[in-house]
Amino acid sequence: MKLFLALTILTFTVSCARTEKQLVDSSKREAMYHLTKGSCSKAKEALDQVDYQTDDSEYIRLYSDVYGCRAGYSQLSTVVNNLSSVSANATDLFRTLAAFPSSQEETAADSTAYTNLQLAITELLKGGTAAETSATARIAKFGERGAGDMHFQALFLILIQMGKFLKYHGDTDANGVKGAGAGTIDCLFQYTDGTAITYINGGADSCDVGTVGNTSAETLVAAASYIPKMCELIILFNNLRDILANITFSSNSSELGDTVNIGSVLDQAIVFAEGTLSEPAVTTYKNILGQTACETQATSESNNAEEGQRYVGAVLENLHQ
Amino acid sequence: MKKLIFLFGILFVVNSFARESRYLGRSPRGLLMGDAYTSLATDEFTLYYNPALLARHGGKSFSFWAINPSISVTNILKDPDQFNDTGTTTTDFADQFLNVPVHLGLNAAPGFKMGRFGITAIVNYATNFSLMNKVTPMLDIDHRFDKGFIAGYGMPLTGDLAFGASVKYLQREGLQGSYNLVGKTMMDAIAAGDPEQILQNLGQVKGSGWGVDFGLDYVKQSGASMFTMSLAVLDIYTLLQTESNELNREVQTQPMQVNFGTSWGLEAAGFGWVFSADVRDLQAIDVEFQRRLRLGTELKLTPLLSALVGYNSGSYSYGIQFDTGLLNIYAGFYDVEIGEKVGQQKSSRGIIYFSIFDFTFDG
Repeated sequence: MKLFLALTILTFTVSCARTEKQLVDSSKREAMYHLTKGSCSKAKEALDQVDYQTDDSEYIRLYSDVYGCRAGYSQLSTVVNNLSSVSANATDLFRTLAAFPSSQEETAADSTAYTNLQLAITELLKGGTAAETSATARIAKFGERGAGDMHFQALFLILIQMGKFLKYHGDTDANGVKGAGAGTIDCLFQYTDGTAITYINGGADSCDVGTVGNTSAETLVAAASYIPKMCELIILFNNLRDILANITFSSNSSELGDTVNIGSVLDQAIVFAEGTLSEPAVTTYKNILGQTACETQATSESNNAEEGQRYVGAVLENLHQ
Repeated sequence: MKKLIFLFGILFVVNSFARESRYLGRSPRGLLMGDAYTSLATDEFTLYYNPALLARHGGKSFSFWAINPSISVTNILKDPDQFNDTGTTTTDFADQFLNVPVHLGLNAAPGFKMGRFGITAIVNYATNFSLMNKVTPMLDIDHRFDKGFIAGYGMPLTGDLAFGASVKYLQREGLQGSYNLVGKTMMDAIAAGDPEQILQNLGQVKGSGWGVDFGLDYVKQSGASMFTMSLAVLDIYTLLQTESNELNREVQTQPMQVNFGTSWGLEAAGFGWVFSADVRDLQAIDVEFQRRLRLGTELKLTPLLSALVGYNSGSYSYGIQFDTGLLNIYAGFYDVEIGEKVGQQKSSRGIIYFSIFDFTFDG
């Protein structure tokens, strides 16, 4: 009996705590459980039990989900059921995004859902770094699989977020038609730059004068106010384009509808603005992927903000019809 | 004695996360007794629990188990409606099955004991998956197929104490991970079509290797009553080498477990009662005590029929055994805690086991 007890005590000398990897796996599973239950704060607490895992694609995706949870977002009910309505036609693409049920819920600027979705997107775009990076940088860091799953997640979030932006700032009706909403607004922004207004007036959309903007945008005439909002749309658009250029859709992507084809629509809009219109601002802005980088660009020199208006006017405003 | 109290005190106060323990095989009797079986495993599953118990097998006895499969599945009887109405859309289906663990297990342990030597085959297939995360649905998969054998010997040390050791060879195919349901990894994998190719694309890897177990067993018999205490150090050195694979993944390890068990029972003329308790994973100091605790009891109602009840990490089990001599059957239900904390997420399962043509010659 004494020998048995002595040997039992001896086994305690081999006792060990769990490894860092086991703790991280545990915190991720715990977060998944809380996200299943819709307990957003508990999911964040679970992830915060370990240091932020900058090199762990799954950890970052779950962290993004915490914000998605706070936004009331669900990939299946919010996105997948709507993808069949997405059109890969230049005149319809933005309209179909603005017509999403989740977009139609957007009745005030910067709603809780909108701001949390923006945080969810930013989390993915940063990919464990201090600022938003490119899709190719994320692929280099996380590999095709890790980055691929991040890009799918970001793709859906950006489509939903752009829909919300385009609906509210474009004052759309239920079908997503710009300027056909209850307000008197025809344009995404109030434009002050003459060249931008020329591009806008040349488009087939309802925004012809270029100086009529969303009610919230009426106060955005001062550069310091409209630049962050303008950059928000630019960043969503540029990252959507960047991600689509770096995703290879598998042969069984029929559930994604025309989403697999919208990359070419975005590219064509850039080609038109950069080539046909010969607008140098497009070259300046088209590859900016981070909010801070965009705002810095727009404020670093006196005419840079106007260049931003030209990029939006030549590319984005005309796509939203 | 103070040290002993201190050490057991640590077991009670520590509170952290863990997930479902993985085993190479389980005795159905043990499972239905809450898996409190470290000091009771004298059946064909001895080498899965504690090689020292081989010393209890008579020195000239011979036991043989040829056909002894068990099947465990998700207990759909617990909530039949959940599986009847799955809705009409992907969203309905996902909502219905969110947080519903699905389990399929197939196990067999053919082998023999000759005196204090024993050998048992490892044939253990287990697949568990559940859909998690409302925001970005993720399929959590834990799939394993283990094959191999364990051979061991139990040696009496002093009057009541025995020591045992075993060596095992293990081949493992395994896949463990969480995959976004609508993500690149999953969509690319499914595009392969063939189930085996899908598993490979998701990251299934193969590996093999050798391992070693040790155990101690203390038995005190007095008339019809028997008291036992056992300590098992399983997989003290089990190293699996991963076959090369495209994703450069490692095969799931077989981690060391230090388990303590005790039992007390009365038996006479085929009637009797046994109570057992286990404290598992003594080596893992940051796992909740409730998570490690197993309690079980068996009531031998007649020489043919027994009732079994157990408590396993906050979950309960119950079942019956029917033994006609030629055919030995166990059937019952048990829950397994699969969440990171006790009481968080249970997997309800049913098990049926039968063994035919097993026999023992007492020398």
